[in-house]
Amino acid sequence: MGADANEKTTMALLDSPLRRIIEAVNDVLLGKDHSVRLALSCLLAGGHLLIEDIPGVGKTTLAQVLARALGLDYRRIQFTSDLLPADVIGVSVFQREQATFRFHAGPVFSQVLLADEINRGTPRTQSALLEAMEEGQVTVDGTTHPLPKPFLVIATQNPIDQIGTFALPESQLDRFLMRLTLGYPDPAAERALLAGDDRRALLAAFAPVASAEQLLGWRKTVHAVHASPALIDYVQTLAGESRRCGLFETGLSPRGTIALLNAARSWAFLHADHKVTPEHVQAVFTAVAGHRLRPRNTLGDDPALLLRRLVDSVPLR
Amino acid sequence: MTRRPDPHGLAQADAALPDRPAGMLLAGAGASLLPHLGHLPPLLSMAAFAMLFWRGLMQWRPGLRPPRMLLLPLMLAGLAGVVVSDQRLLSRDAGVSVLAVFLGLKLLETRALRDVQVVACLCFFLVLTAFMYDQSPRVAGLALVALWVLLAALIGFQASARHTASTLREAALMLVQAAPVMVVLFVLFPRVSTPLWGLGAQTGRGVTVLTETMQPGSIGELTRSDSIVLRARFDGTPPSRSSLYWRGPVLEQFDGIAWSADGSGLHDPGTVKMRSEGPTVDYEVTLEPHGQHWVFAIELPTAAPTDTDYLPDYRLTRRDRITERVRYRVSSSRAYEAIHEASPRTLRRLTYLPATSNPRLTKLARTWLAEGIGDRAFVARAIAFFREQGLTYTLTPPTSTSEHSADAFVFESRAGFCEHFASAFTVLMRAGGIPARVVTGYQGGEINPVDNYLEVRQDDAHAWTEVLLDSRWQRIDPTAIAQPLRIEEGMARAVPPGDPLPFFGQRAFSHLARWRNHWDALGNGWNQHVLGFDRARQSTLMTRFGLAGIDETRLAALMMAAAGIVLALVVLPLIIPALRLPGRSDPAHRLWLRFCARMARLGLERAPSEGAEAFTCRIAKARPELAPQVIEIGRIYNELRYGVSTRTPERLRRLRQCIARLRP
Repeated sequence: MGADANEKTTMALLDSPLRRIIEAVNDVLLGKDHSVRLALSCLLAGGHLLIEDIPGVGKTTLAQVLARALGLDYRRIQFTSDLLPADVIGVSVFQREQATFRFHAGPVFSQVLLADEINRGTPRTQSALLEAMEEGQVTVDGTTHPLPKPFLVIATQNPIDQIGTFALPESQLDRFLMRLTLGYPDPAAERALLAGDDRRALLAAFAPVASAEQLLGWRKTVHAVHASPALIDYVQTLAGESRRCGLFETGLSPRGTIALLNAARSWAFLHADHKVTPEHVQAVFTAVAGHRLRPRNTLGDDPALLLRRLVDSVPLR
Repeated sequence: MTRRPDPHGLAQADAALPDRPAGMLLAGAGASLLPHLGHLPPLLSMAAFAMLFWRGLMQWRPGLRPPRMLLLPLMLAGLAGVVVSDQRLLSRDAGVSVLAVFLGLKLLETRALRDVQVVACLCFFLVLTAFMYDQSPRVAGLALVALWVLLAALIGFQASARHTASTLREAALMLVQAAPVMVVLFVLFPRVSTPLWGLGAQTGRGVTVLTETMQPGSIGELTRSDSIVLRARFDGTPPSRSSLYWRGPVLEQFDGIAWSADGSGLHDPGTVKMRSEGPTVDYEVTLEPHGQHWVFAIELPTAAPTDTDYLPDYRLTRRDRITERVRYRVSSSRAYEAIHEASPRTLRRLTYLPATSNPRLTKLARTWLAEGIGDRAFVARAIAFFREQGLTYTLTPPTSTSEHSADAFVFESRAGFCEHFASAFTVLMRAGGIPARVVTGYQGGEINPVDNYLEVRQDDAHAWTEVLLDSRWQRIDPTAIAQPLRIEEGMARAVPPGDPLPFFGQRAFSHLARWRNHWDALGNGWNQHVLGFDRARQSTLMTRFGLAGIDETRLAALMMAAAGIVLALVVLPLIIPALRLPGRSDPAHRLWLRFCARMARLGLERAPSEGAEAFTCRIAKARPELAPQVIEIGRIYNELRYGVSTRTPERLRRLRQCIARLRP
């Protein structure tokens, strides 16, 4: 009986706010339904999101609209090469009257941090985000300050080969659950974009659909999505093949494998399923593994194609 | 610069070889050169090892790589070295020398993985050629080590990040996996009647062996060596050691100092017979090559083994020199009459003494003869004389310069080895007019407790006297008369304390002797079962399996089949885990596969990585009339396989029904 009851509740969830969130975001960001779903399931899984593309395809818009739709308190930092860690985390200021230091919290103390163009920041500033992203807390002058819950980082970045960027180190890339690319809109969506209202106005008029409490509740449900032994076999085979196939410099790490399973859970939940199927894993695989697997031959095929080939080479059985 | 993908690293011409596998390769090359050290010209083996060492330095200092221009002169120098070291260019020795030199040269120019493979092949071949010289367990062991290290090196080059220990482990595993096939090939490979390794003659050179002459000191020389002469396995309990007289060359010619066999005894010997009067002892002898014609048997063999002649002096000989280990069965009589109705000419020869030799013994004989005693009494008197004379048995007799060696021994030094005893006694007999001769061979032997083979060694070499009384040959061992311990307990006990002994005879080394027993038993087992597994043994084995008289073609076919089966038995356990797909045991998955197979017959094939939902949606699009059923099937399947396992039997039934009802 339990399974069917579970089935009904999940369905109900999707019917209500989650579907509305997706629809609302789709209203603002046209023709990017799959990316929107991926982004939402990333946040539902409690993971940080990296959006990578050329300027002007709607990276920031997606980040903003997601934060708004989820009803989260968000702040935005524009990363530049002279941005300092203190600008992100905050600073302790000496209070002459009380003869003590007082901590002035930085923009990181928010539920959603939009780190815009994160790869324009210096590695030092980038890594200041590390502790925050991994531990959900920051330490300044030996004092640890907990961050609000939920704490999500949505970072955008330009492709690595653009001038004036600092590539994110692998350790930091690994801390993003997903990396998305948006790409150019299809002709119909672009036409609607040109003909329609100003996006900024739309964004300003955007009303929250859910709340922080709801998001935390959904997260619990996501963790309860069932992963059967057969599915775990599949995830393991996929990870093993990524290490063995020779297409990539290093295979998927155990942390990457866990991320893959969590993202698949979240994707399944978003699609009203109480269990993970291999198709859910395949749906999130590119987003989860793309930034974790570096192709061995950098001048060879398109990395996305390599990932596709990897998935195709693992039979379902 | 564009670089094409090169997964095997074949084109990395200038990249240095990785250190660890390169070290292993050098070690493997060294190990495959080792068994050749004994027969390669010293200069060439030094050159080969020097080049190995050079290659090792190159690994550490790449600048030491010889320029290409230098390699050609080096090669020519190597070839010149082979020619100069006095070898015919088209011989086995020259071939192996060239191989060794070229191995070193190839190592010097090794840059890429392709070169490594050539080097490994050269090494494997070099290992093989070692068996042309020596097929002992020592060489086999060295070859195995070389194979192991080379395999590990090859593995290491494929995965250079692996540790040496892990490559060694894997190489060992591969060797173990290959062992069953090796056993099949060994047992079933059709044997030709001449040994496969016939090209490598083991002439027994450098080994002191019994010869057809005996002079003072010649047998004492033999006892310095403890190498094995023969091994014997008795049917039943072996006879006591005092009766183990292994008959070798019979010496009838005496020149005053040395005894020799000139073969004249074989012409016109008269009537020679042998009558066996008691129980016989049956045994099988494995004789080490000694480069001579004769083979040994305990006195006296009742008949000659196959391919062997039984000469009138009761000696067994073969037509060809014994240059390879031979095995033969003999039975010897322990109570026999060696009847010899000698012709007058033979009698003359058997009593001949040079006129002026050994005057004192001759004079002694004359005084006894003057008393008018008969032959038997004369012999008895001589035996008593030898016993009373106080002669001592020693391994280090004083060197005599006298031309009358028998006189010098009996009357002056009174200390000697068995050849002194035998020679002096025979001289005394002949002086008394009694036909007598010296017989050389081995006496005794020791049972190796490990495998119960009797081992006869060079230091068991012995000489004794034979006298012809009433046309019957009688053995008289003067050494036994003077020093019975030599015969009863062996040389080590008979030698007076303080005398130097052969190494293993010394008490302090008894534990070493125990190890030697094991080593000898290993060598013997190897000889008997591995090297001795000839055509006869193979057909005996085949007969035991009910395949009597199988011909070579069938044997080869059987070998191929058996090797195939064994290979399958080895390989299957390795690939079965990969074949045993996780889903096969899941009934839902079996139903799903059946469904997929039916869809495939409709031309709708599922891609291996295609999920149930994607697949069923695709079918639904292609065949809309099937859509509801097919989507239901996909849903139930996903639920069964990936969902929480409740109501499984019910869902399974439903899935089965859905698939059964599907009427495309």
